[in-house]
Amino acid sequence: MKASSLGLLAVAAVLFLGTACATIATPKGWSGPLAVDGAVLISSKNNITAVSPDTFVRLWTFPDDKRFPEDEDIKLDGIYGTPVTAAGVVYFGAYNGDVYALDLEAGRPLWAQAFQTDGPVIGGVALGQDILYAASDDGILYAIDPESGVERDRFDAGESIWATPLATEGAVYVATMDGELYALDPATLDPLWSGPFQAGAGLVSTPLLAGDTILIGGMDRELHAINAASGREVWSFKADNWFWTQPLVADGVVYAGSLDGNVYALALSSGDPIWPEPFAAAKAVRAAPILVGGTLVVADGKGNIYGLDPATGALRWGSLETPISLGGDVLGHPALLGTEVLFTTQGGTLFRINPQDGSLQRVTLQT
Amino acid sequence: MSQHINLPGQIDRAAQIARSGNMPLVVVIGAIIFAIIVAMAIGVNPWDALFINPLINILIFINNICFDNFGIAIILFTLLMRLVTLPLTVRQFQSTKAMQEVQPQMQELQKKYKDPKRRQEETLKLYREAGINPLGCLFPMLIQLPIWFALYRALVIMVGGTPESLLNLSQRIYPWSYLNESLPLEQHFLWLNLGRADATFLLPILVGITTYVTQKLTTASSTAAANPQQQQMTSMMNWMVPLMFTWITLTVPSGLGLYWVVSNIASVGISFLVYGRRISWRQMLLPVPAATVTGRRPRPTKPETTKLPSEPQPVEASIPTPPEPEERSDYERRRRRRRGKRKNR
Repeated sequence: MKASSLGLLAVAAVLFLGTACATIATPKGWSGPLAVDGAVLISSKNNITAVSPDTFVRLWTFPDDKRFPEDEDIKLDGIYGTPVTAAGVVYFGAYNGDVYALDLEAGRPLWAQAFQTDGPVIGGVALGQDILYAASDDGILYAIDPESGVERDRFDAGESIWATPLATEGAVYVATMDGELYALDPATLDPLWSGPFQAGAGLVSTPLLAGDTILIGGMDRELHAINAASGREVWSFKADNWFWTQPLVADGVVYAGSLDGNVYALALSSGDPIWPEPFAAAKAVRAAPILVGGTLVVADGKGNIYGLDPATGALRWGSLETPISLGGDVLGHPALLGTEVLFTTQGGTLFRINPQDGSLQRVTLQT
Repeated sequence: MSQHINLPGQIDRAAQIARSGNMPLVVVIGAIIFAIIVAMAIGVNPWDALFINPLINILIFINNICFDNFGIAIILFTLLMRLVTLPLTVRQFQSTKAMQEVQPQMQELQKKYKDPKRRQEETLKLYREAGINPLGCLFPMLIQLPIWFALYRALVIMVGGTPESLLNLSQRIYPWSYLNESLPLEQHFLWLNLGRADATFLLPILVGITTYVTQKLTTASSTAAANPQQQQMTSMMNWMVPLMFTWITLTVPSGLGLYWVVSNIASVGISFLVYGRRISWRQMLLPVPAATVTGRRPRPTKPETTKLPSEPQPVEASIPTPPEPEERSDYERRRRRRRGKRKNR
C-alpha cells in the first residue's frame, strides 16, 4: 500500500472521528423565566412549562404529547425570546418559525393553528394595543391578531430580525441584523422616521425605551441612545465586544452588560461612565442585569452570579476568584418573583437567588 | 538494475536537497510547538488561539473583501491555502514520484531477500541512498490535518446559523470593526447552505469524484510496476478513500465539502504541473489501476535479465532514469522514429 493512500485513509479516519465528536451546533434556546400571576414560565429546548410560584409544582407543559397526541408533531427547536402574557394568554415565538398563543391556565393552544413565519423566531414577541408583533429571521415584522392568530399586517425590513421588537403607545421599534432600526406606526406599520437609524453592524439586543430615548446595542460593539421621535443618535458608548443584552435603566443610569464580560453603568443623558471602572465578570454577559432591593444582580454567560453596588459597581456578594455558579450557561434574562431573582440555565433548570446575600436554591420541579 | 548506479554526485545532491527541504518544515513545526507552550503558559487554549480563531478572522476578512459572499471566500481561502502549502504538496508529489522510480528495485529486493528483516534493511538502505523519505507522502498530508480540523470547527462556528453559534463567534473575533460589519455571515451559496450538510447529495458526490481523481493521480503510475497484491490494495484504496470522504461530507457543513472539492481540483492542477503529463480521463475512470495518467511511457522492466547488486547501489531519486542498454536501442529507435515522423510533417 502506498504511503499517500495510507495517509489519505488515516486523514479520513481521523476526520471521521473528529466530526463524530463535534457535530453541527443545534439551537437550544435561552429564554429566561417569566413570573406572572399564578405561574412561573420556564422554557427549555422543546417545551415551555408553567409551575406554581409557591410550590413549584408543574402546572402544565406545552407541547405535551403524552397527554395530547396532537402535540406529537410540534417541535419548537428552542425558545430564545422571553414569552409575554396578557389577559390570561401566553404568547411566544419559537425557533421552528411559529408563534403560539396558549391558555395560561391550561397550557393549550388558543389559535386554530400556530402562526407561521418563514424563518426562525429568535427575538421575542411584543404586545401592543390589541396587536401582537412577532419578528422573524425572514426579515418580516408581523402584526398578528392576538385572539385569532390571523395576520393583520406586515413590515418587510429586508434583512433578518433577531432582536425582540419593542411596542410602545406611539410606535413599534424593530431592529435588523443589517444594523437598521425602524420606528413604525403601530396600526399601519408605516415608517415614522424619515429613514431608519443605521448602526455599524447588526442590532441584536432587545431595545428599551427610557423617557424619549431608545437604547439598543449591537454587533458594532456600541450601545446606541437614539431619540425616539427623530431617530437621531444622542450618544453611543463603545465596548470591546457586542452588546447583546437588554439594558436596564434606573435613576437616570443605564446598566448594560456586554459580551466583553463587562457591565457598564452610563449616564442616560450623556452616555458617560458612572462607575470608576466597569465591573468585569468572568465571562461574556448576555443576561440583562436586574436591580432588586438596592443590589444590581448580574449573571455572566457561564452562570456565575454577582451582586453589585449600583452606585459604584463594587461587589456586594459573589467573588471573581470563586464566583457563585449556577453550574450552567445563563443567557436569558432574569425575572423577579417577590423579593427573589429567578434565573434559568440553558436547558431550563430554575434557580432562586436571594439578592441580599446571593444565596441560591436550585428548584426541583414537582409533578 | 545497474542503470541506477550512474551519478554518485546526484545521490549526495538528492540527500542535500532532502535535508535542506526539511529545514523550513522543522522551523515551522518548532515555532508551532513554541507558540503552543506559550499559549498554555498564559492560560489560553492553544487550539483556539493558534488555529481556529486566526482562521475565523482570516475567513471573515476574505468574506468582506469578497462582497459578503462566504462561498467565494471559502474558494479563495482554499486556493490561498493550496498556494501556501504548495511546497509541501510539491514535495509530496515528488516523493511519490521518487517512490515510483525505485519500484523496480523494490520488487527485486522483495524477490531476492526472503528474510523480512533483511528485506526491510535493504529497503531502507535503498530509500536512504535514493534520498527518499518513505513518509514523504504522508507527512505533508498530516501537516494539513490541523487546518482541516480547524476549518471544520471554524465553519461550524461561523455559519452554524444558530444564536449559540453567533454568540460563540463573538468571543473569537479580533477587535477590529471591519470584521463585525458583515456578521452574521451569509450562509447560502449556489444551492448550498454552507452551515449545513448538503441534503441534495450533489456536493458529497462531487467530493467523492474529485477525491477519486486525486487519488488516482497519485497512485496510477506506480501500480503498473507494483505486484498484484499491491495493485489490489491500491485499487481498494482508490475506492475506499473517496467513499469515506463522501460519507463524511454527508455529515459536515457544506462549507467544508466546498473546501475539499476546490482543494482536490487544485491538487489535480498541481499534479499536472509537477508530473507534466496529460490526464487520460477514460483510463482514469477505469476501476482497474493501470499506468493511466502518464504521458510518459512506463519503463519496461525485465526482471529475468536484471542483475541486482548484492550491495545496493546508489539510485537516482528524482531525475528520470535512462533506459537500460538493451532497452536503450529500442528506446532510441522509437525516438528516432518519432523524430522522423515530426520531420515528415
